[in-house]
Amino acid sequence: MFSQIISFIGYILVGLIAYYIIYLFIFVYKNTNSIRVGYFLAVRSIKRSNKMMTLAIISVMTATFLALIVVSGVMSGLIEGSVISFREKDLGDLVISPLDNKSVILNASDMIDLIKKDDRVAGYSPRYSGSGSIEANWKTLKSNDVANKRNVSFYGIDPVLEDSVTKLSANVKEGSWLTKEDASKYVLLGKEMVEKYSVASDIDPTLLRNVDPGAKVRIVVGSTTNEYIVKGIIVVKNQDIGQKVFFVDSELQRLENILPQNVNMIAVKLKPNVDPKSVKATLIANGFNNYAKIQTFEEGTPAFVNQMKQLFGIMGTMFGSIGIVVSAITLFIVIFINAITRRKQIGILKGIGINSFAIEFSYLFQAILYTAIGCIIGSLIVFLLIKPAIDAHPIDFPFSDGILVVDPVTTLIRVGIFMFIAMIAGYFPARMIVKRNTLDAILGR
Amino acid sequence: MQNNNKEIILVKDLVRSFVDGECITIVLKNISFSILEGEFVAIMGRSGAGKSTTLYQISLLDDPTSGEIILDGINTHDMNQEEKTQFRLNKLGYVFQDYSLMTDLTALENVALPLLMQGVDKKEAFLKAEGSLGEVGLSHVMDHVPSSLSGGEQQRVSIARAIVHNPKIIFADEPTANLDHISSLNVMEIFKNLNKNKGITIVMVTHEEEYKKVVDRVIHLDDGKII
Repeated sequence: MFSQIISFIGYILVGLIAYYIIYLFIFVYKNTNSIRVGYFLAVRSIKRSNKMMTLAIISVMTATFLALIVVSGVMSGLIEGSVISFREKDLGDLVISPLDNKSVILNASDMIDLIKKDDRVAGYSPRYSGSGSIEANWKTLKSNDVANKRNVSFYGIDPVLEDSVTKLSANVKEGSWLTKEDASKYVLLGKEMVEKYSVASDIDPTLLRNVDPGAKVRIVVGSTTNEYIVKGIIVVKNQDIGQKVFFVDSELQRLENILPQNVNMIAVKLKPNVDPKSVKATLIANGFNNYAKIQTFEEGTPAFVNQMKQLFGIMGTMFGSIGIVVSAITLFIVIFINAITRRKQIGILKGIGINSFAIEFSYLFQAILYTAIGCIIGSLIVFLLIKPAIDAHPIDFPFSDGILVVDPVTTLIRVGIFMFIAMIAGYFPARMIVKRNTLDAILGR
Repeated sequence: MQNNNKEIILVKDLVRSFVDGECITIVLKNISFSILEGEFVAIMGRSGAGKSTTLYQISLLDDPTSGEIILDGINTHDMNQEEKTQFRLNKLGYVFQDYSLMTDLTALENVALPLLMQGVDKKEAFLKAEGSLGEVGLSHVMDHVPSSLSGGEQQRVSIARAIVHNPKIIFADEPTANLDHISSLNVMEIFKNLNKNKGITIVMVTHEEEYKKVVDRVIHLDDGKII
């Protein structure tokens, strides 16, 4: 029933669109001459108008386009940067995690064997996880001091395999990346637990102070306490990675009594242009969905990230819409003042037999032209200047590297809306003046 | 010059009043008259007699309060504004006191405009416009914008625009009021020739007594009535 109603509404909409397209064609055919004269008047008006005024109008249109595209693009890009970071530095293209009622991936060895052999895979990283606490500065702790200690979660990784997926070694800003031989001696710390790097350095008293590569930290897992040397700090704008302590996998297996086959997560990076769904399908075809949850990155993205994406998208659209309204009002005022100062000329045109639509079209054409030029200049600025610049130097937000999200389809839709509103803003003031009494306009009364 | 006895303008019981709050001013009081095809008629009278108001009514630039105006056999009473605009485009020509040219357009473009609106091909329209400007002796200023022309030249461009589409009637509202004597005589000479050679009916509002001898007939108005 519901689908029938939807189909019915669809037919009505298609019918209405067809009706208006036919109506538009008939209207244009009937008014070809008015359009020709309107165009003639508009072109002459633009050619002989005040150049500074024309420049100012085009500047407003360009600024509006930029506000519409760039503001919303940056808003989306803020979250998109975070999403990209999640994909590249954490989850990979395919995320394999335990089934809902399990704590580890079952039959992980077989699954890893299959993934290893798949030539669509660029890298994979089995991860073990655990939790405990980390403490620094305990040697200098005085009796009344609060211990410099915080709860943390751990990743146990194979350094080579992990780097093939996340290339986190490039993000070790101080110190160096782990090796297999570092197992019992060294750990890496995510930046968000280190006071020197954390975005919360002013508000979180549990951040580790005076911790640099070479510093000793005490890690408690269950009832076992061990000391490790900090080998490096991973500086990446990803809250998840930033809060982790990285062990060599064998060391975490030892600390948490984890069997090597009890992997908690497998992050898979695919070669360029490989559809994650196809690799997922292969794993499912081999029955591994009975042993683990197999998700593409999009499916595995944390829900809050998607909610943030939506929220920032709405905010971007809101700011862009305000820009459109402001420019529509500006254009309305400009065209209105232009038309009202030419009221006598409009009266004369009507007097000598130029019909209303021709006069209105001349103003409509000017509005369309100014808006189109604004959009073209704005597009050149965005695609040749702003986007390459931001791609090369992402905006430094505390929790992500903001990029500029401009997709051609959305841009075209927004340009379409902008043009439509500009047409209305250009047409109505002209119509208001043209509608007035011809003789009053000629006599200026 | 009168071509025949066909009444090209027939005005019956024309009334035009203006309302300003509670005050009603009756400017034209039941006037009736006719003008024959090919006549050159002047409407004269004192200031405030209703000369220009009469011209605006019969040239369809304004709507009468009551009465009938029949132009070229067509009763204009029931025409809507767009129909009146179309009628003005095809059958009437206008010459205003202040020339009323489009400031953005050159002399040639101003003159070609009515033809373009009629749907005449652009090239042909500009050729005809050149011809009209030639008729009023302005071939040398075709590419000038109005602001670079003298008053007399602007008025002649205005006349060229009024005749380019071969109208049946030309309405002229004080066409020489802003001109010097020589230019005024020049304009009147052009009108005389248009009337004589092309048989165009001309209705002109003027207060210049000396033009009485140029026109075929004078309609005298006083206080909204024909005297």
